[in-house]
Amino acid sequence: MILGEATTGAALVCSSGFNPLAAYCNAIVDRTTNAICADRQNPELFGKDMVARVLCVPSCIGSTTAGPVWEYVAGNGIAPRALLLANPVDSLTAGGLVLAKIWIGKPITLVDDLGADFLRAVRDDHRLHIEPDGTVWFDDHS
Amino acid sequence: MQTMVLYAEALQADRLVEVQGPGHLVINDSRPGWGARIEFLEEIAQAGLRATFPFTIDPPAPYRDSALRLSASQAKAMDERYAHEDRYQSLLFQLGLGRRHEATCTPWFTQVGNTPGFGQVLAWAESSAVVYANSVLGARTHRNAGVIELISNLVGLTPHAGLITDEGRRAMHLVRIEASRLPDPQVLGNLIGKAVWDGVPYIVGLDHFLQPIPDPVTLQYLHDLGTTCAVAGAVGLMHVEHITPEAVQSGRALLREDALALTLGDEDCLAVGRQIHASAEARSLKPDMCLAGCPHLTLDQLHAWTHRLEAQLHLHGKTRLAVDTILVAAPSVIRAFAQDAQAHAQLTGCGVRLSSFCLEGLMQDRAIAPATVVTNSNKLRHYNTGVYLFSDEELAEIVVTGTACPR
Repeated sequence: MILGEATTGAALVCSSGFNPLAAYCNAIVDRTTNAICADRQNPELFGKDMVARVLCVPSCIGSTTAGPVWEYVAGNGIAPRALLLANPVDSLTAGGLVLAKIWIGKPITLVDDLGADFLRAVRDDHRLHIEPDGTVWFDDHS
Repeated sequence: MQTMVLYAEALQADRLVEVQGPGHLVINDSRPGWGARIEFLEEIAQAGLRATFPFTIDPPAPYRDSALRLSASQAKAMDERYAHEDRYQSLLFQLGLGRRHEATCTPWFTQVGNTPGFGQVLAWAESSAVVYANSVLGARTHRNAGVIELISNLVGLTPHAGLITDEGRRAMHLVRIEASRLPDPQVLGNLIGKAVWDGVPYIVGLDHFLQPIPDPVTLQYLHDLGTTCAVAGAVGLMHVEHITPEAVQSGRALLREDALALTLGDEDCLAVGRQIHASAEARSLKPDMCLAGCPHLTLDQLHAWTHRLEAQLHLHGKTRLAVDTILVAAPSVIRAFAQDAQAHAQLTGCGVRLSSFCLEGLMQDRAIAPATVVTNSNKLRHYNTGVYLFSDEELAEIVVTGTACPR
């Protein structure tokens, strides 16, 4: 685990890169209490509420505005419970989540480098458990 | 400093290294979620922090911009939205925003002057600027997240990892271009960005079509290509064989031993071109506005638009554009363009308005965003609804005739 603490939550999965600005822009503009994914380029997540979910994605892509975006979602109660990356963490995600932890005091749990098999195994709504050492597991019956 | 240490740990950096030149910031306005929090800026300004090198910043939000001709209710909405804007800008100046510099996403333009040197270690944000600085200028910067870039410039340090290191700049993707003509950079960038995500591509085959740097056409092509790679993926550095400085210097030694190979040809470009360019259905819409300049236009591009529009107006026997059109460029680029009084009069005389605000800032504000926009920027299209992508030639015809009829 890179950041955050042990947590549990329902998975929300996509196989393409996650673009924080495109995904959260409507939630930020409209100051909503949910976080409906607004990224039309990401059909797997588009239209789904991301609040308190465990986002399972290969890696994050897109604008460097991601820093203020992660700060905003952490500070306004619309953050995912955790972000699980198949690939090693990129500089934008690392920076954004460090800001949420240090300057907002609301860390978002981050585990990276889980591999492509992880994304093949996990499905939407699987109940995911993230242990303090970064181990991730889910109930077979979830 | 705690922020920078944790950032370095997350990137598995072995140490922090000194920033060697001026930064460039993406946090251009005071809206929550877009810029830095005002309380944060107050806190660090009160602590007396200031960047060693004066930094540049992205273009301003379209607040109080006369080119937009806002209604009274729109202006009121903007005043509410940007209630802290003056204080925000004042704090940025306190922290090191260079007064001589200008707000633009193209800080390396000669007219602006924040042009990094080869090998210089920096802390930049703004995805299109980062990929240009790394790839075309040979500087070394992470794709820093907004706010992180400010902190990095204030403490004068950046993590020694990834794109700062020789190993992190080696390519993990060999991309062969086997095309019969130079691919549209917006299309090719989309293909490469989606294929390599945050990887470093080593692109082979473009030198058949492009002249060596500093040919202005090549520089513009690389700017467009890098911008789209960074939007569709998370590319912070691309090497182009025989063209970009590190590829010229080191050649295929830049390729990692385990690099993945990818070949892209005419068919790939055609398929993606159909996806990202306006569909036949979209072409039946009547555009409210044409926006070009995301990222900001060069001086050459302003002249090219002048000639392009002049030719279309002549062809259709018109003197004025049929579509409200705004072109944006750095303030100093617009001033340089205005030195050519004839070209300036031609461009503005047919109805084009020139400005320097951020087009994304306009499109992401529902109080002022036009409903249907035509553009030549895949970046603007990518992040917004109601934005339709056309080639420069098509766009010129549309703004003159007022329609984007199916072909």
